[in-house]
Amino acid sequence: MKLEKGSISERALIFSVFCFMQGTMLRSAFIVAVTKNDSWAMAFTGLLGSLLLTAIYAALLRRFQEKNLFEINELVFGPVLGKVFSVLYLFFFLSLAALNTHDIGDFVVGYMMQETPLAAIILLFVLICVYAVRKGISNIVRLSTVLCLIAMAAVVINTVLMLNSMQPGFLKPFFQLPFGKYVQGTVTVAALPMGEVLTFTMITPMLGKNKKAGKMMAYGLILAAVFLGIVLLRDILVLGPMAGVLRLPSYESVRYVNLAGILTRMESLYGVVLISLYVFKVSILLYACVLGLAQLLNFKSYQPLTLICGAFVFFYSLVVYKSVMEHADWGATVAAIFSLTFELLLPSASLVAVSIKKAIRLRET
Amino acid sequence: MKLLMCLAGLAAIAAVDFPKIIKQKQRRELTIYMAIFLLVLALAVFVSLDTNIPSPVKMIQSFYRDVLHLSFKTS
Repeated sequence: MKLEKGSISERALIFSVFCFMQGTMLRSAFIVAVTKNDSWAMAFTGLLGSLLLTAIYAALLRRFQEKNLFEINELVFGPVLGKVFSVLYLFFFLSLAALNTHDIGDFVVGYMMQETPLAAIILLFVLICVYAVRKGISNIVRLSTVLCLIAMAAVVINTVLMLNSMQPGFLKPFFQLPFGKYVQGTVTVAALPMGEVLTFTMITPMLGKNKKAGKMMAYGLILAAVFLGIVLLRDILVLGPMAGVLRLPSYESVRYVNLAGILTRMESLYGVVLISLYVFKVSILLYACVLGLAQLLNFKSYQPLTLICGAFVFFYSLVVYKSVMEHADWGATVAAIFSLTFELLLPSASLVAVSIKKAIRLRET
Repeated sequence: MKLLMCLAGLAAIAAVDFPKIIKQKQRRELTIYMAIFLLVLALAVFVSLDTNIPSPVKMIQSFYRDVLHLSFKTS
């Protein structure tokens, strides 16, 4: 039984993937801390890795038209093992939603509203996401076109306004770090922002039959990588070695915008764009959790689970990590490998299982 | 105070969701929903009482780093 009756266009999917990825600009410190002044190149090497992941998802989605990730699990592995896989994915989506929610709470409290309790910010944020999911995810996916244009305009305008603060010398020396650092940077970009495109496998059935979901996700990723590259390059050119030690380089660099002393403090506007992108991202993640949970439990509708799942994400995000340092440590050491377990290992297992089943069926006939 | 606010929030969620599920006369769905609700309620009580709840993310980090020895080095 279909739990989601909405529909989305292919173009909306491209913009959605872009918005989903741009929300992660806040976490660019994970990359810059590793590959320093060469981080801009990681946007493109990471893109290659994420396109490989997308190829796996596309192959699965092509074989199981109009089915989402959880339905595919049951079709490939049967009801029991399929549900085990789905529970693992559900945990992954919930953890991503909680981590991103805590991120935005930390950002608002740390940079915009220092006196406000973290829980109050997170509560308001989660309520907006729950409202978006309850009103139908197809609406927020359609909204991505506008959000995408705003995000692109923000990056382009800020970059142009910062041109006089840029120092090309900060890019040197080129590629002098140990090779392992570039591998780490590539894996981090491929897994952390870009591999999370896996979440869209819960939405792609809304495209309808014979639509190229994988291709659209790849276009969205390419667009996102170009803008990620521009932002990383801008941050390095403006901040120099400081970019590697700051918590939010992409936000800090916008502070340098100063046009004749009139146009300043642009970071507040950029902050609003970032919050909007995070609302979009967490709404998609929350939707994936709610829809997945409803399918796991054989509910007739996912609507009754939205509020309670939102409440769970709220409390989970409050305990997910206790300090910014803990989060930085998580991002630098394990986050990418943990994400790859769900973004590479499990989907690959599904694809191998499908291929083996197909080969057995062919041999029998 | 924090506990009261959490309980009030969860009571509001119950007031929105329970009547709909009860009206649909889905016993199974109601039972499952109640189980999830109690889980979230327990989490809410622990969080609001500032109990030291171990973060699943920290446990995963220890598992990957110390058991599987799969982690990047920080330098």
